Amino acid sequence: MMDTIPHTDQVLDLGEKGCGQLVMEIMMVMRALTSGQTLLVTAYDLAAAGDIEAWCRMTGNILVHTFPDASGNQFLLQKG
Amino acid sequence: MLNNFCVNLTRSIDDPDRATVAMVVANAAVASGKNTMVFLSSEGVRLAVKGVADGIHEEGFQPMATLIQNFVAAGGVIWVCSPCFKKRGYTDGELIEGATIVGGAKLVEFLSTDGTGVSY
Repeated sequence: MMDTIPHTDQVLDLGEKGCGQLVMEIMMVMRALTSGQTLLVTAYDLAAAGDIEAWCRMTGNILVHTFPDASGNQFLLQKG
Repeated sequence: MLNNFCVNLTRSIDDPDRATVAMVVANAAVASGKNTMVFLSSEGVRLAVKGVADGIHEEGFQPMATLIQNFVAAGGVIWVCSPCFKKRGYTDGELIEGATIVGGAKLVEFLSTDGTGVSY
């Protein structure tokens, strides 16, 4: 169980952004990373969790962990 | 034969005839054993708000509320476009049973995994 947010290679705060804009911005940041590097995404959209899970399955990237907090969700992604 | 079947519905109270036919087709799909999902986008998202379907009953068809209840009871799922829903000022507390807020990536994954669909 991962309780604390680890250091990541890149961070991305998407605020209330969702749907196509959410995955497009994640893709743009992930494209600059190399395999194994990590990205911490903060996203408050109600659909963010499901979208990020689906996007990772489709693109071969890894959703390592989801950190729920009072203001939204943070998602630790690893480039596949 | 493809198993995921999506009914994309962009209408509700603005076009009850089209919205009703879409839900009839969705019922046919789920009754035929398909993994059926109704994707509500644009004006269609209003159907996922409690009480809205109660005002739609097209002549010659079951009431919209009955169509939706039967669809969900048969195992169909309703996905609601997140930005379309938010744009209209709704919150997730207003959702009907069986409806889930989703974004585009979920729709893309559903359709690209053994899926097909129709749009109204």
